[in-house]
Amino acid sequence: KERRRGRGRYGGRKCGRGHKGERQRGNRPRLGFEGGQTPFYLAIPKYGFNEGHSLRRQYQPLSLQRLQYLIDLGRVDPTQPIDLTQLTNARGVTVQPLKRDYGVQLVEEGADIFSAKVNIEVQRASELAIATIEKNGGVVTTSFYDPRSLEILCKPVVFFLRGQPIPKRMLPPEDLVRYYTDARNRGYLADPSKVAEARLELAKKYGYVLPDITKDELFKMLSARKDPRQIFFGLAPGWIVNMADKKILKPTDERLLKYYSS
Amino acid sequence: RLTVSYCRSSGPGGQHVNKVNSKAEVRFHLASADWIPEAVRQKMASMHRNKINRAGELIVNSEESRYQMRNLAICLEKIRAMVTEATEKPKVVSKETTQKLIERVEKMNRERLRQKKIHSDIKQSRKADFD
Repeated sequence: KERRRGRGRYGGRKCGRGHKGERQRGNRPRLGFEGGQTPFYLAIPKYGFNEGHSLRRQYQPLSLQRLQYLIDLGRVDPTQPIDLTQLTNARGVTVQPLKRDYGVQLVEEGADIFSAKVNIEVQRASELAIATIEKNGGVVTTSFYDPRSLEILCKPVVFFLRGQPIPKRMLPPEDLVRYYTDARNRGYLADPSKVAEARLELAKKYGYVLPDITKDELFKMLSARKDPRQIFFGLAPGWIVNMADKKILKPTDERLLKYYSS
Repeated sequence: RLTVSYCRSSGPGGQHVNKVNSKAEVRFHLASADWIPEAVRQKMASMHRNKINRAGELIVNSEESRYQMRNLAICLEKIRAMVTEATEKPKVVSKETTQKLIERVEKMNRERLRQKKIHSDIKQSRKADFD
């Protein structure tokens, strides 16, 4: 005998709503209500786990495995210094400056597989990640970008179309100054001699021979670093890039030059 | 002079643990290690007798971390700690210091007995003896 089925678009007969009561009549209480018992979300006391979460700095993680993947596929060029702009253009990472993102951090996920000689600039890097990159003959630098410069860095074309002069990159806030002046984190404000010492220390700690980058052909490229006030590699603060006419305009007024070079 | 080898670690972890070499093992021949002084070598041989194999090699392994490099770093740290431990000399307490310590203990005991006597005198003075 065939199964008797109610007809109708939503299944027919009881329409998947059950039998009588609040369920069928569409009058169930709000989410979280436990029939009068103190609900879970009110019984548990408040504690400041998420307090100030909108003011916390977030860094998008970039694993060494992902970086190796991008280099192998050819999306990122290891012969040029790797910057956030390069990573964004290659769609390797997606940074949202409006969501309290302050940049990218290096994570040690693919430490054992990593084998690429690159000049990387990120915002935070862990010790193992720095050690792995230097073992393969690369250079790591950590630098700070305030939210406005970060947005410009991630979407340069949109910024150039606005027609505003490139602003100068602000210096890090008090709590981050200590981080970026430390040679162990390879901060961009740290002493170069101390950075060299820190490289030797890491080599001794992790037990590898530190390759001499001065004897490398790409040494000039590897040692290219940005000025603390500079956002892009080739462009200086104060310049205006005209996309339509493919021209760059530089300021000539003395006061402007003084302001932008401070 | 140190022989490093990697192999697969033990413990749960599924496919990742089975395929990835993350246990780092460092071994070196203790008797012929000229970078450690002779006395320290003897001390180490006696302290870590269980970690030396028949061929006389001291073996240190580590599988605490997920990364080979970190395990290697941990092995090296362990070796450094072993050498430092074996180098430390037993604490020599000078004669004056031992005398001072004995004097201190005696003084403490004397003070304690004096306080006890004072307390006992107070309690005794409250006693009313009908004499």
